Amino acid sequence: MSAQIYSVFTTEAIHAEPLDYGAVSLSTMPHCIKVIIRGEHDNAAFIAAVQEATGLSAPTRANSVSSNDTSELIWLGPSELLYRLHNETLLAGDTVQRLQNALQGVHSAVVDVSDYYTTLKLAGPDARRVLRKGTPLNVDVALADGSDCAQTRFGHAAILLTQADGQAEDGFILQVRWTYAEYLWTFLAEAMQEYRT
Amino acid sequence: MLLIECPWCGQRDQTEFSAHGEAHIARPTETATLNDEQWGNYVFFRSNSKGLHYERWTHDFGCRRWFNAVRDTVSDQFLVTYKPGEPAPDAKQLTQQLSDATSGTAKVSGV
Amino acid sequence: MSHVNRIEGIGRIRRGRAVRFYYDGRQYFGYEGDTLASALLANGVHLTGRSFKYHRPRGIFTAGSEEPNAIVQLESGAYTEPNTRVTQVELYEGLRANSQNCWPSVKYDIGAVNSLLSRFLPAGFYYKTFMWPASMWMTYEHFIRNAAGLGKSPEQKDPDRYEQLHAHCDVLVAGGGPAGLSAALAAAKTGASVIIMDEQSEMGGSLLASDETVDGVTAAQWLKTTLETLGTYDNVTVVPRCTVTGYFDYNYLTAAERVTDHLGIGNGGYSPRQRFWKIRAKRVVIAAGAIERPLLFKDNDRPGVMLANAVRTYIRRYCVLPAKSVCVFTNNDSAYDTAIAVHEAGGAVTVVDTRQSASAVSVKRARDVGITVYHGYAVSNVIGSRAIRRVEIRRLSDDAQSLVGDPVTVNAQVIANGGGWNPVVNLFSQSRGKLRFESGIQAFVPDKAVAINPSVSAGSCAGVYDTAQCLATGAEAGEIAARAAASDPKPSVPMPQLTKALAADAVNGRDFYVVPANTGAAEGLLQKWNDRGYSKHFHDLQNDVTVADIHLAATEGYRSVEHLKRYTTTGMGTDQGKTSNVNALSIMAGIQQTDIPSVGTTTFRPPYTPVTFGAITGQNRGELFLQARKTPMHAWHELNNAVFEDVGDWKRPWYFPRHGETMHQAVDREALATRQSVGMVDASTLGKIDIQGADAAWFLNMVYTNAWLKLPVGHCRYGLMLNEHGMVFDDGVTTRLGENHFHMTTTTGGAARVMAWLEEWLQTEWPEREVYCTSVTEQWAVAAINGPNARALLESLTDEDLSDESFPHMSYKSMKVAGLDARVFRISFTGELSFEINVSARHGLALWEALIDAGKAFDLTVYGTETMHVLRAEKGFIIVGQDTDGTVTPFDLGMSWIVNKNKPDFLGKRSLSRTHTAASGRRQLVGLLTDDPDTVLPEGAHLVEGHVRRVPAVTQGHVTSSYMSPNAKRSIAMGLVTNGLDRLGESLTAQLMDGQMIGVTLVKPDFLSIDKSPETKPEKGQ
Repeated sequence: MSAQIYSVFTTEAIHAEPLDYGAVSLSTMPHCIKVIIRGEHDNAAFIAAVQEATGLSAPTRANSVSSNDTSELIWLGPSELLYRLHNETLLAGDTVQRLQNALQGVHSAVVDVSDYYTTLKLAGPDARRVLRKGTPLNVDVALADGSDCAQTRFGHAAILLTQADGQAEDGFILQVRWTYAEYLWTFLAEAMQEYRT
Repeated sequence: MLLIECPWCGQRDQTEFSAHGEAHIARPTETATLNDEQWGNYVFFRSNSKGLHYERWTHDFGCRRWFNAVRDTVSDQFLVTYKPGEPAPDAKQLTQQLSDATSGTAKVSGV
Repeated sequence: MSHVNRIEGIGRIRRGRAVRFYYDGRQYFGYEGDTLASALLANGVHLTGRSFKYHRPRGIFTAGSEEPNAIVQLESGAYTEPNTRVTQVELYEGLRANSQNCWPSVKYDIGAVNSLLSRFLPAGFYYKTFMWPASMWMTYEHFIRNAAGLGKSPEQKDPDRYEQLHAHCDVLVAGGGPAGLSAALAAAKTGASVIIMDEQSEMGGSLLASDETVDGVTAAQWLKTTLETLGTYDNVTVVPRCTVTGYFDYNYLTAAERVTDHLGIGNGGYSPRQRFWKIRAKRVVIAAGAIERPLLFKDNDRPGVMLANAVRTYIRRYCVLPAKSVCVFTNNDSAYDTAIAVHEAGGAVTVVDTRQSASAVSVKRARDVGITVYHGYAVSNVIGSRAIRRVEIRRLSDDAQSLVGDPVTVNAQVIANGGGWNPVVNLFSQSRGKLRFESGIQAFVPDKAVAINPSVSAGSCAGVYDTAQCLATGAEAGEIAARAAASDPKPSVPMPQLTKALAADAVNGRDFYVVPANTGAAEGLLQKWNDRGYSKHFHDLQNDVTVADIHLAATEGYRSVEHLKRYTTTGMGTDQGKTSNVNALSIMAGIQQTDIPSVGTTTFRPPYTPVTFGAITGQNRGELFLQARKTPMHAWHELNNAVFEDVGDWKRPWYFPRHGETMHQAVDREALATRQSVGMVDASTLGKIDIQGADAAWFLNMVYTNAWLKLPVGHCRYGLMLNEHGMVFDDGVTTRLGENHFHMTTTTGGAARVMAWLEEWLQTEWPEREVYCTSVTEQWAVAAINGPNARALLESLTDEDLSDESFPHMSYKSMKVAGLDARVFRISFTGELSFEINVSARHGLALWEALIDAGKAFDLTVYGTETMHVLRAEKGFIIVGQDTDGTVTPFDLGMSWIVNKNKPDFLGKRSLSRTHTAASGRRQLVGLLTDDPDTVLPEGAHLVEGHVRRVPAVTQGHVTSSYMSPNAKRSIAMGLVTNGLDRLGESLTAQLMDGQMIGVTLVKPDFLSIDKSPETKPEKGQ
């Protein structure tokens, strides 16, 4: 029983069934490794070490993302990056260790937040409009011209918004503290009502 | 509803921010040597200015950074926002900028 | 179907689609495209309600959102909505509406006796009458509210759904008439993103009731083509049934869209009933149109007196001729169009023009078709009460200050009243734009916008009344706005207003507002209140305010227009005086013998028209009102009968009743079992912050009152945080995981506050310090096991050595627990041997269940927050926020041991030695024992000296925490008492609201002496 229930609260849906109304759909994303990497973006040693450990160039421009097939480095602030790694065979602890080793002697911090956040996916031609029901962010501007992510508000929840891979027009990943995930899901499901048929 | 320029994230809705009162009030370093009045001035007294107000904000729902702003408390207009550590912009210049804008002598682009 | 007033033609109605509706219980029919107003008029119904104060019969006055009179209670039960303007309600099948302000019925209204008593209900009546004695006010209020009776609020839960929607655009066009449409089109052509909104069911504004030729085609054809063209632009959003209601700073506008109201109850499908837009526009084009202003004459409130343009709208748009015979009363040219419309519809029409002559095209056209025109005349009397039977007119003296000659009788059942136009400057004024009074058109127009709210007004809301000019100014405004949005996206300078020369004269002719009343000499008190016969000249129809009321207010010394407004209640109805404000100003100007600009104008405030609470609330109701945060173990708690308590936005188990236990019984059991064997509590909600960096220890040394530099790695320490005032604001245990790595815990409610506090200092005051803080609250699930068997329980799930030597009190170990990676802290919040086991949130439930299984051997008892509070209170441990309230220092808490006086500085330190903070007489935390051990003090109770009840009493302090302690076998409490720490052993009395006097003794707040284990004093001696 335990495995069943504990999977319910974090990474899988609180409302387990994905919603798909054609124009817009909502689902949960599989659990992935998430690590906060702190360090000053104007510190070359920090940037180099992050690149060495992740194989990604560290995004130093506000609200930009570097990514490859399995991982992303996301700008969260002028001294804060989020590393998301989609690899089921790796352990978060190993990833943290690898980063810490690379950052040895550099003013930095590495913190495992894999279980702190959960991620939802909102997709479909009307996903933008559904988003606008909860966020004052101008998504069209915030996720354009080299800006690939935005931290903002959806209702009462703080969210990190990125575009789903290769679907710039119609797919968004919403990362949220998992204790807000049920609220976020419920709000999105409500906002999607008008697309039911 | 204000529109606030986060020095990092750009223009965002006021509801992403919170205000934290007057800026550029440095914490005294040798606190033990201060008398009650000097310490009281630091803890309790603020300028509460009408007109230009240097103040602190945080981008709570964004990058969670603190920054400073100069706002005209009469018109609620933000004249400038800047990162902590950067010098306070000159009040005279800002006042001039404000009066140019309201008198319409500033360049009105595109009109 | 008895559509007595329906005429030939098409207008905008769909004759093939009859719609049934009910008004005051009676069945009628209308057509699709009708409003409730047009359908009622088609059926010959003019009388729609009784007035607010005098209960005079009233009818439909306008054809738009400015309607002051005809407001109804729409539908019933959960769906009911009061004060709905019949002129805005689109007809749908089965619609039910009831008139308001009348009992027992609109035709026989008992309140109408007020009308006979009108001399006793003058300006300021409420203030004058319901003044004294104060104790009667509640009674008066009840009476006033019943008599006033504007509609009834729904009493049931609203079954409809509503939503908020944020939108961003380059140009928002408020208003979809000729100016707005051409503005949208011009802006769209530049590629700008455009939203155009209009409050009506379809775009078009005045064009919907126009017989003009526009750009060489009929108005209807121009409208059709323009909307089709707009439809081809992807960058244009057209939103009908949507009122732009508010204009706030930085071009933030709100709009209320009635999405499915027009479909009828339950027919909206999955769409929300209403949608509340929150729009951020780079530029705004206001094209809100103009509202006709009525001329004021005796009995001008009778059903059948309508605005001239409303009569024209009913004829041309809805194919309804409100009466066979119409009297057009005007001071300008525009009302002649109405005369022609009546004539063309087959009605008889007489024009009464206050001007001595007129020569405009429309005037000439009216004469040419044979319409009788009386120049230099005014309506002097209206015959009929619930309907107009006939109208009397008299010649105006040359100075227009009196009526001369004999009355002439005009046969008319409707008076089309056209006194000129007021531009709708409401939105512009809300945006803090300055208005200017244009005497040529006798109206306020937009003058100067403020920098942060750049808008430009076009069309009749800018005082431009000619349709061709509306199109031209609209196009110009649209293009200006779009180009400015592109080149200067962040508003920094005010937008200049268009400077079209406003054509004087023709529209408003002369500044004529009020038909004079010819009354003779004074007639005592009555005369004073009636003021020369103006007590039936109603200028505010909704609030029943007359010209006489303004005279009276002026007589009594009210000169400021803001005071006048409140005293007379002018413009304070749900219509916000859309048809009355400028008239009120003109009356005031007349009295003060000055001009309107000198009188000034009142402030326009949002919303432009009433907005339902549902729309404003949007999605924020029910489970979305506040997020419910749950711990990883929540599912277990639910399955095991937990009763939950809200702690901030968290759902925490409060207690776990078994087999019908009361809360008291459950807490007793949980608290006893914990101290006797082992208890477990879900502590996942505690705030957790990861702190790293070379200066981390230095940083902790600054934010906590005690010493941190020498804390060994692997050890924990309890800390108090003070604000700069020296007052306690949070506490918790922080652990040194590595030389430069700490794990901080905070209170559940203080987590966000502490995180912000740390960041504030790091980012703004000490940016050079190498410290990074990261919130990890949700990363960790925490099970805390407490009690003599806690070690044995944990040993059964780990191979780690848990002995005192290997794992002493206030230390930390990383280990496997039940096969899971865990951080275990040996810290205590109960005074018992305790371990706080942290695992990744995903594994929280697995850990919990492993502990439950293993705990069977030790009679493990799960407890909730109530027992947690009892256990800590038994040891005298504080709860920040319960035993402290922002005015309490560590010394006040008797915790001087935690303040390190040798540290040169820490946050709040200097305040502790401020004269005031260091003075005696402060409230200090002490234990309280009631004389009767079975009596539990109420928290918040005040403590006084002596046993005699006194009111007022001098309080000595109050109770902060109070419980029945099963371990101490008596009630226990703590409280903040003046000089309490010096008064141990003294007696005080808790003086309760209900008269009870409960004796207490002040003691040290340590209610158990059950063991001498190190945990008894967990924080000292580190």
